[in-house]
Amino acid sequence: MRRDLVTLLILILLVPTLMCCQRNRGSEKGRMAVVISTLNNPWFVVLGESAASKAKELGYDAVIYDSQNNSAREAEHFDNIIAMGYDAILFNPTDADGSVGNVLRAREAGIPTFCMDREINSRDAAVTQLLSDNFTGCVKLGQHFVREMNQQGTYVEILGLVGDNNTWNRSRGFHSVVDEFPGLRMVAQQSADFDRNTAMEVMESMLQAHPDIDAVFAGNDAMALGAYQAVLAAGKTDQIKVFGFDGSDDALRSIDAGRLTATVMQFPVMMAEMSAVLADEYLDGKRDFDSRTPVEVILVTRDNVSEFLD
Amino acid sequence: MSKKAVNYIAGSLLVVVVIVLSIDIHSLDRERRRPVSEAFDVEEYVGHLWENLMPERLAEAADLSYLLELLGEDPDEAFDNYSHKLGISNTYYFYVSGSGVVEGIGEETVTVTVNETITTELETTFVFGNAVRDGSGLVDIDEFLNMMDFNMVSVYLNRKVKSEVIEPFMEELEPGTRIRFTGAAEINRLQDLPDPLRLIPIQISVSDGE
Repeated sequence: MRRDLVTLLILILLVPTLMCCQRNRGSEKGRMAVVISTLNNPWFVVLGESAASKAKELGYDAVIYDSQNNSAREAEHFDNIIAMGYDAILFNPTDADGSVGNVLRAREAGIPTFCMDREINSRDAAVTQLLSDNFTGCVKLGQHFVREMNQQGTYVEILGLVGDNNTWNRSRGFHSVVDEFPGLRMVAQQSADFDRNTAMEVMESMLQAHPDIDAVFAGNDAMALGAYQAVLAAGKTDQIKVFGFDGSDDALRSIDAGRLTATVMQFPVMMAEMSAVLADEYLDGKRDFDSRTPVEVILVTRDNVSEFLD
Repeated sequence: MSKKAVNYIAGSLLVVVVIVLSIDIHSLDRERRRPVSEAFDVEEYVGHLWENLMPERLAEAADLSYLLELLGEDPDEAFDNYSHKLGISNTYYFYVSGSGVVEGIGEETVTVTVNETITTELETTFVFGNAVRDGSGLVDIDEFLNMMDFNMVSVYLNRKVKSEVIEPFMEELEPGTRIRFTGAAEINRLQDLPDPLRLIPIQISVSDGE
């Protein structure tokens, strides 16, 4: 109901714009929209640019839309994309539940959507969803965490966006391992929305309340690096181990330099490019797609980080 | 009040309404406690899988000695005929069976000597991951509303292994005990074959003799 009202109000505001829009198939093969949850995080910039680049390589015009982690802005983008008659959407959602309606509206308008990296809670709204196996990645990370900590100690967790399935797949994957070891105790858990600066502030507060912790598990590398800055400022880098997730270049260099302890490598370029390829296959007539395709992720520690550095 | 002022106030109100209606407040506690999916009973699903479907698959498990030989001589045939994998991955899962003598009991594994050349390790502490679920080939990701439901199947299967297989087994275990076992192995196709191969045990029985 509320979503419908928002959509109605946005449509009212957009009427003048929509009235003057013309369907313009800019290239011979058509156009793909690349809708990204936020371009405020380098990881998603790579995802979006890789998808757009591959779409262009395949002969399509491609435009990147930034939802700024805002589901209302995302809905606005979908309204525009539907009105402008795009041929396909390569989509990195802001919210597992809230984004389903946008994908369904696109489907009703005859525009197929291909989810990248982030999941929506629907079996059939999107044509397919190409997703990092976040849960399994954090099971691997959790086992490494347990061994690094010798099954003893206290730690804090910094979560990503609470509406994103990746946040909970990572957190629950990690806890499915660590909670089995009674010597490891979580003393605080707080969201920092996958944002580096927010994570630094959250970590500063956590350190004031829990100065004697032994480790931090952050739901992505940006937050892990923000947390590490707070740990560094507190002079506790020898005491506190920091674990992240993503395999960003900054995190890999940090592990190599002995700062972060571990991360999990995802493959955003491969996911983005494959999404564009799948969309191209769909537009060429293919219809046999799995609802989800998990993409394996790899634990990165000081032992194997050199394999991933340029 | 002028018409311009009324329009300005109305426009401002409209913008405020749009913003307010667009905000979603998430309670972290609610999210933390949120059931995986209300429609999905993971305990019932895993119970049915464990009791009714897995026994047949376990009976079809590849013999450990034969599989190791095949992996050395014709890995393509071994992977094609005896393994399962999920999505885009280099990790493959096998169901494997064999028998041998308990050689040692470590912090994380029980070492079993199968014959003069083959030793295997049964996981007893780090019973995690997807080997039990995906090695069965019985759990289709397309059946599930989301990845969380699918992943919880692994969690509950691993808990069953711990409580119904490993814990009772550890109580009657000592070096020299002859056992039969069936378990799940995880092998990365791009890496060297682990030696010894580690298995998550799914069935263990003490045998009287050869």
